[in-house]
This record gives sequence, structure tokens and C-alpha cells, in this order.
Amino acid sequence: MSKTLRQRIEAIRTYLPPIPGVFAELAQLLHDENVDLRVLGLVIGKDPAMSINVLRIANSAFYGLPNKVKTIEHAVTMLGLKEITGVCMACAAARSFKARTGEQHVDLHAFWLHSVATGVLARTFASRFRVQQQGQAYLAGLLHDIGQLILDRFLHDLYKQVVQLTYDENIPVIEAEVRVLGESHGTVGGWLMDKWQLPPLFSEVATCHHTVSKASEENRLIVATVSLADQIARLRGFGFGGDETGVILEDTEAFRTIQQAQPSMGELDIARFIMDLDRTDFDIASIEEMMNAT
Amino acid sequence: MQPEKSLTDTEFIALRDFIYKKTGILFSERNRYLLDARTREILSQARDKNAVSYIRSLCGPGGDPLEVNRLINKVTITETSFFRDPHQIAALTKNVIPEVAARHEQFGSRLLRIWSAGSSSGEEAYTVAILLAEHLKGRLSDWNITIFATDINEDAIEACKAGVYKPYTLRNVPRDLQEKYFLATSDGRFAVRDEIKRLVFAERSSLTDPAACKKYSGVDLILLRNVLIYFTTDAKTAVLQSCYENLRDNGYLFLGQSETAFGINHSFKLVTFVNAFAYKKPLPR
Repeated sequence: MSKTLRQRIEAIRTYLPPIPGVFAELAQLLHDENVDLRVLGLVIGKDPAMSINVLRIANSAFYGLPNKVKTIEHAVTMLGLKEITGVCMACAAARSFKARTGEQHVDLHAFWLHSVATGVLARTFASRFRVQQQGQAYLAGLLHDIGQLILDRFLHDLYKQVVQLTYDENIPVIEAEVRVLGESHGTVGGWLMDKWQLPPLFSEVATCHHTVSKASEENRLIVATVSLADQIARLRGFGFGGDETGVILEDTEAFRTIQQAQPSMGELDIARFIMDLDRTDFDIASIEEMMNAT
Repeated sequence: MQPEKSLTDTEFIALRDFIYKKTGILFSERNRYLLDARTREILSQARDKNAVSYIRSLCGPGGDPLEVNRLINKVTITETSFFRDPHQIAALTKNVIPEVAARHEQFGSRLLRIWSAGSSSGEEAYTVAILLAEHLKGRLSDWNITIFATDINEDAIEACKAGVYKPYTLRNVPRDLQEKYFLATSDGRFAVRDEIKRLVFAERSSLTDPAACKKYSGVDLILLRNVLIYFTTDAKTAVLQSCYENLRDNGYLFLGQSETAFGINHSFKLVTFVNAFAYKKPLPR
């Protein structure tokens, strides 16, 4: 089954549909010929789907760059206004892929909020844990669950069974995926990122964020950082799906990996650390507010 | 109207030391305002309205033990309500209670013991009883359940035993559960129904008395919410150690939502739930 699934994923050619709020904001910005590309980058960077679409083109063979494009700022500057407008127009067509009304599907707003929250927390943690690839932490966090969006959009009939199962049995989504699909959203996200020639760091984060020890030594710390951010985002109420299980964070692979690199983590009052993340909650809430205003 | 008189430093220290000696509860500078508010009425009735001479009269040969009790009851009373802290309630409902009940079912034991330590007037203990009744549905009578509700405050324990509450303390109880588990009384209050009431065993007990705490051993769940703030570091260590010893393996301890056991007890494993924390007693290695 997994080979067929992989082939189906790798055959995806269309762009991923952006979150409506971000799309509306982008459409508005693109009306202005003199739009500041940095502003455009900031808006694109609020949406996992638009971010991966832009990274896909910037890293495509067409541009044939010797080094991978790892940030949205770089991708936007490189592609320019015309190309970005082209992606947005193509995305307008991709929006028709949305689920039929009345069906059980991934709650897109919750998915988006979880992605942003994971990105914001990953950025905070990467700086605190002195992770080398600090600059990519936000984007890696934003994109870590892209496999779920892919599955929900392109294999919707199968994925709605997964979503239902997490609600019915209060089990982690990954457990439901393996039961229904035989693969996790992490693996699926990684397949498409590799196919689209994104920097390996992103596909490794997506693939291994539930199995940190399988990450390469080079990227293990950033994978662990995003994995911890993913869990803490859910535990601070930025989760989606029915999973409300508790976690002993100090026993997770993510925590142990970070602790190996930063032995001072052993002295961390985890409860207080999580309670004190109000500042990041504020950052996340202000992004959400901007979205709701559009 | 004259502004209310606050305790002077000397008065505060005299009261603080006396209460600490009698109960092990320490009102730190941070909680001074609580001591101030809770002794205001008593001191206004005292002969010369001064805490230092009031304490002296209690300690002297003619000191009235009933008055000492009255003071302790006044200063250790805490406000509480049913279904307080929705996140902890969700963690209990969705995770802890199903897990604990399933573990007992697995081993064929339906003897469940829970301890609401520093229970005040019993709202927390009855809330857990209701959550259990909801989880076990019609099978409640198949189980042997005891929820110990202990507090140092006699008035609070009497209120718990009576099990009749003002509507305000029920404000967070979902309407359907209110109808199912409470009876409206003729004076506009709500009485906990017998099926819930019989699960709770309330008695006066001090958390700083380790021998007394031993009575509540073999429990699967301890609620010790917003109690530690009143203790010295040594007393906190002793209380958490008592909790640890009293819990069964894999049992859970809940503290107040802004409290942590870090730096006091390292034997527990912190479990993070959605916006809530609990401390789990791990299996022995």
C-alpha cells in the first residue's frame, strides 16, 4: 500500500491551496506594483501552503541554483513580484480542491493556527537552546505538518477516517494514520518536499518530528526543537484533531535530544517554562487577529 | 466611612507566628493581605482590637481553646467552587479518570481511593465524585469508591459533611449535571444527592502531620490545589513526600494551576496535559 500511496503523493503537481485569510491579504498586496517584497514575504510566511508553494518554485530545476533556498525572504526576492503573482493565480485555481461541505475534514483554521504556533515556539526554543539552524526554525515549524494538509486535500476520503478516529478514541493523530493509511503525515510531507526539491532540513523535520532519533545527526537538534514545539503548541491549546492526551515531556526523544546538546535542560522547571510562554501566545494571537481582520 | 484598619508589622508577625505554631501554615509576606482580611472581623470584636494583645490573651493561662479554634477556622478558610479550572477538569475527565478506572478494571479491582487534601468545604471532592459517576455511568454501584476530603478547618469539614451549597459555588457546573446530581433546597441552595455524597468521607486532618496523612494511603489520585502556598519549604517537602508515599504506582497528583513541585520533589514525573499539569508517581525501576 505504501508504494502506491507514495506514488500518488509524488504525482501531485498542483499548488497547495492557501489559507483563505492569507490569500485575501496577498491578493490585496499584489494590486500594488510598488509593494515592499519584505512585506509580501512576511504575509506568505504566515501560511504553510503558500510558503511551500514559493519554496517549491525557488528550488525548482528551472532556476538551477547551486544552493537551496531556505527562507521565504530569499525566495520572494529571487522570484520577484511577477512570479509571485503567477503562483497566487495558480493557487486561486487550486482552491477548488477544498472538501465538500458537511464532510468531516481537517479543521483548516486549527491546522493553520497549530502550524503558526509551532513555528513561533520553534523559533523561541531554537534561540533558547542555541540551535545552529535558528534562522530556519520558524519555517521548519510552520511546515512540519504539511503532510496532513496534503492528505486532507488530495486523499480526502481516506483521511476523513483518520480524523474521525482521533475524535472517537482520543488517540494521537499519528496512531490513527498508521492504522488507516499505514504511513504518518510526517512521512507523506517528507515525500512531497523531497519530490519538490525543498532543502533537506525541512523534509527531515516533517518526516522525523514524531521519530526524532531517526533524524540525521546534522539536523537532529532542529528536528527535536520543532518536535518539542509541536507538542507544546498542542498542550498550550493550539492543537487540532481530537488528541488531548498528556505527555511526560522529559521522557520524549525530543527533550532528551535537546538535553544532550544542552545539559542545563535537566535543571529546567518544565511546568514553569510552559506557563511562562505567554509572550509567544501573544505573538500567535496577534497573527491570528490579523488573519481574522482580513 | 473610615478606611478598614490594616495589621501593623508587629501585629502581622504575632498572628503569623501563632498560626504557624498551631497549624504549620505560614502566611508569608505575599499572603499577608489574606491574613489581614480573614482576621479583621475577629479583631474588631477583640477587647482592645489589637492582634498582639489578642494573641497574648490566647496564649495566657486563661486562654480559651474554643477561641483558638475560632481563629484557626477563620484564617484557614478558602473560597472554592465546583468544576473549578476547566483545563484540570478536562484532563481528569478525558485522561486521568478513564486511565485509572481502566487500570482497576484490568486487574479486576474496583476499589478506588482518592484524596482531596486541603479540601475546604468539599466542592472539589464532590466534583471528582460527579466526574467518576459520569465516567462509570450506570456502573457506579459496582465500585467501592472513597474520596477522602480533609482540611484543617472544622467549619469547612462540617460544610463538606452537610453537602449543601449556595448557587454561586455551582456556577460552573453544566446545567445537565446540576439537575442530575443536586437537589434544590427550600432555602434556595443545592444539596448534593446521596449517591454522590456517600462517596465522600470528610474529616479534619492536618497535612503537616505525617502520621495522620498515612490514613489516606493507597490512593490513585490526590488533589492538593492551592494549598502549598501556605507552607514553608520544609513543610512543602514533607507534604509532597506524604503524597508520593500515599499514591499507588502510576497515580496522579494535581496541584493548583500555577503551582509546581519543581525543586521540592524530584520523584514525580510531570505530565503535561492541555493547559494543565499533573505529577505522576512512576513505576519503581
